[in-house]
Amino acid sequence: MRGAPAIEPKHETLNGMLATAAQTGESLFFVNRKEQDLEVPMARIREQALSIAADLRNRGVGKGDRVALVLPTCPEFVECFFGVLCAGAIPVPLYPPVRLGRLDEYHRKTAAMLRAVDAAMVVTDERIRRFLGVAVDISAPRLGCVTASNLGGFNSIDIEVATDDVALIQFSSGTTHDPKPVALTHANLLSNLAAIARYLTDDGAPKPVGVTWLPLYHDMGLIGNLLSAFYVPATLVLLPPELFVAVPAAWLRAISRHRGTVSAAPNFAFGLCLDRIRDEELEGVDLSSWRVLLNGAEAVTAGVQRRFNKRFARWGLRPSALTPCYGMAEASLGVTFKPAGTLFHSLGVDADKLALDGVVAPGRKELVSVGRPLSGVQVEIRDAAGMSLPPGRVGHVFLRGPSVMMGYFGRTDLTDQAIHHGWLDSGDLGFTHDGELYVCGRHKDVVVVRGANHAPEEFEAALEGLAGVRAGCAVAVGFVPAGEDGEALAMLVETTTDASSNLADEVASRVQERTQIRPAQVALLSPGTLPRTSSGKLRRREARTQWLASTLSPPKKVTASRLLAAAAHGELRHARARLARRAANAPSITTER
Amino acid sequence: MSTPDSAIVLEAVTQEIVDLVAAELGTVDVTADGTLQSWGLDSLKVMSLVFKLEQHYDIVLDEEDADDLRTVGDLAALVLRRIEERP
Repeated sequence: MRGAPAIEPKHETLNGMLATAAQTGESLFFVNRKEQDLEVPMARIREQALSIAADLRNRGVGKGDRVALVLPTCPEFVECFFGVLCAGAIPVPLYPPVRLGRLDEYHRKTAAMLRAVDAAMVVTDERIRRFLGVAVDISAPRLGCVTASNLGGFNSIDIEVATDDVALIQFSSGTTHDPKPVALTHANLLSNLAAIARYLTDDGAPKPVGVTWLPLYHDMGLIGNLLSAFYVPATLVLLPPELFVAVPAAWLRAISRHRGTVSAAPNFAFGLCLDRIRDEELEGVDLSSWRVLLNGAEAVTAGVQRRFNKRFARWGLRPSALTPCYGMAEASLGVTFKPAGTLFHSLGVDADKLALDGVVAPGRKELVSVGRPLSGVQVEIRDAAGMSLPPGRVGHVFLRGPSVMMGYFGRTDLTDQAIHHGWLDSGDLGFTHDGELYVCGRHKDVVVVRGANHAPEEFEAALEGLAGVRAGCAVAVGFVPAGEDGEALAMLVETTTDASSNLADEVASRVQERTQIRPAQVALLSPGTLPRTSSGKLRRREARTQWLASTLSPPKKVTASRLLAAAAHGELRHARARLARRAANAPSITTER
Repeated sequence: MSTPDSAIVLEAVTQEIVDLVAAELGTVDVTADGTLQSWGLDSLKVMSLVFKLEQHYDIVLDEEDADDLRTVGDLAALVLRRIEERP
């Protein structure tokens, strides 16, 4: 399945894109916590960026150096982002600490990310700087940590870069200790931006006006909203993410106030709007300008979209605005979008046949189409052996095109696992039907909560040392609770004999305390219940499948005759090794409950 | 903090925060001595709550403030401390 031929981007580099946008008189509008707008012309952004670039060079930043940006949504973020690019260096946006969050975990993650890109410098603001000390100490960037307000001066510079130079490193998933730095070139990003711009401006659509509350350290906010505003170029209105979370109506009011035409959000945001916005908060609001409302970054559900359409139609929302899409950081951002101007649609499939046979047959499980490949993008569904599958068959989703990353920064090992002869293994499972893609699961181990990817190891590690939990014998999996729209976390935990009666609560509280995400379910299991590989490694996806099918069961008792039988099958060595490992972990191996 | 007045202020702030937390959770049985975690106040709800507290009281809550925060009462005491520190 392939999209229209790739579009030749208007620019060779993001630096060139900025220079052009600065000539147009377009502006960014930053909405503050009181919903007041601050206009910053793109020309002003470039002027600042060039002077920041000169200062960065002066401070010792060289071509290709990685400069981490730890900033909230503010003009300084944009100025520094382009400032790093104009200095010939590579911006690496990282997320700022969460208010009232746990700092030790933040320090560890941030230090690991700084080390993964061997950052030369960290740019932040006065407030956040106080919380970066530990991470900066551990990772020791060559040029230290500076605040954005101290950057700039009277000089300006725009270092020449090439289209195949790395222009951005963004982190997608990976674990706390081994984060995955996605390296994208100017050419990668611009090809995706060109395809998105074509989608937004095709067929005589009016000039786009973007409105976003997505954080700028996330690909959908950074590339889909911010960089695409500079590519088009078009007005962009930016709200702080916490304003949206606390006052979701502020998003719709900003769209109305600025006659916004395009915005994007993960699926959970639609539910948040439905639950939290009161009608009286939308007095005088007019959403009729809104043409494209992208829904991506997590699984798209039909129910919440229908309710959203129904509820906000009163304020002029057009039903065709809802635009399910699919993408990932490794492909820059966008992969497939719903055909423009159409109503989103879904397919009823037989859930059992889909899961067990990998075959699409009519049934009651509703899956939403995430649309067709963008220009230049190819999608192929493959079986486990790598053979291409026909429409209607579930397999691994592979992608190819000019926006696919050059690789993980400094990690050929990870790159070789992800990219095979130019094809990127998305880690997702899906099928095609009538020329459109449906995503129905994943074969990579990741839990997606509210659009953010989490490595299961992070949740599992949170249980270390918790009394009642068998050491290293817990898995974290994602699932959709009955009657809910979004994915939630479940912990499947093997217990020791001395587990307290409220262990499930203790597990939930511990995971929440360490990760800020509370498991929606905790399943307590007898020792040895979780499926393992022959080398004793826990098999998460198998555990999830068995748990959802209620077939997780404790192991049979280990007896001499079973051991003999195992030996007869030539497995004595494995069994011994397994026993030794289990004995080391838990002396209660022969206990059956 | 030992004068009767400050006790009254603390009580009033505590009640306001109980209401704010209850609004986040959509439940009514929030009490001052209940632990914040026991109600499943996740990251999104914490973000929303922090935003509302900061707006309502014109204060800034920081990351390091989380250290001794267990109950709604702790949160009220913290908010009061920040209010008193306001320039």
